[in-house]
Amino acid sequence: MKNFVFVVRRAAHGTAHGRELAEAAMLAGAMDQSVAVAFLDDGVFQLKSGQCPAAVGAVAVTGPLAALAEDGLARLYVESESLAERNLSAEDLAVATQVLTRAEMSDLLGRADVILTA
Amino acid sequence: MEFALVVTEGPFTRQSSATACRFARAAIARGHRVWRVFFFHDGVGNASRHIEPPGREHNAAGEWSALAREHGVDLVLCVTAAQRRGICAEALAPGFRIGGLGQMVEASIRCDRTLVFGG
Amino acid sequence: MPVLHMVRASPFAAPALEACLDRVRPGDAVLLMEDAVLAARRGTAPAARLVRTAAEVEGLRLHVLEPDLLARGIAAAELVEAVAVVDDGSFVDLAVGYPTILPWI
Repeated sequence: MKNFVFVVRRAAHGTAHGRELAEAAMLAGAMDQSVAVAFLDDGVFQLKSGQCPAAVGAVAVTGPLAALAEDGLARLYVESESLAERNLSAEDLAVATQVLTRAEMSDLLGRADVILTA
Repeated sequence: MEFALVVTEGPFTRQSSATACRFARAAIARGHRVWRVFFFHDGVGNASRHIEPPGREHNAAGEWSALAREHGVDLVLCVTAAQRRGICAEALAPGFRIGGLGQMVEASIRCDRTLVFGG
Repeated sequence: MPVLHMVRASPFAAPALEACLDRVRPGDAVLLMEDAVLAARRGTAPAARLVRTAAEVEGLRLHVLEPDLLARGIAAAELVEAVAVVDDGSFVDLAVGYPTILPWI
């Protein structure tokens, strides 16, 4: 079993990378790998509550992300500094995630065998 | 060592496919193996057999095809990414095939290193 | 485990290099490639940041990819001393030498 970390650094809907990466994370989890999804920088906006993606013809990302955690396929982590820099807090998020400090996030990334990004 | 590469950007506009191709050549020259290249997101655009750049510009599909032919590199496109972008099996250059995201994960499980080229 | 950070965006266009340097740890390596090689030119704010971070983080190694310098007309003499110029073969050696590889988009 390998330790996969999927790093999301872009906001939702401007690019579809977050959604496509969530699909990959789900598969890695289904293939019995250890999977973490790390949201940093603009990636924290993937998790924001109140999204109405249909307004731009996009599809929801928060549902599939929440399902990843609920189904036990992946652990979700968000970086506290990235939230604070964007005037967000954990209460603004629609998806339950573990908040890590930047140093803790760096440790998590350093323990990865495989890092995939979007 | 065995490498898995992931290419996530299309040809021509962005440099990453060309960078990945150079990396693959250099790895093979060093005695390593590039086991699979997985084309994800806009990266599926590198597989079209209809790519015909003018002059001596980097021909993404042609150079990847050559790696497959000469060194047995497995070139796999994400089926969902390809469908979303209108890339079908009939349009693929030699050496490319359409597969699933599971094959990206499988390559990362098997290989010693996974490198992502592109955003 | 030490991490090889791959940075490819110009520091003048995107915050990827800064995001990376905010998070590097002792023993890590950074490879500047594609438009990120612009960061290594002396006399610029990104180059100053590179030098400062190299001084602050113990054992941090900074590399810049030669083909991308050549393509952009940037000579080795224009670069800050904190960065080492590497060819594609050495890029492969870096990937072999670091168990974790983190691309910054």
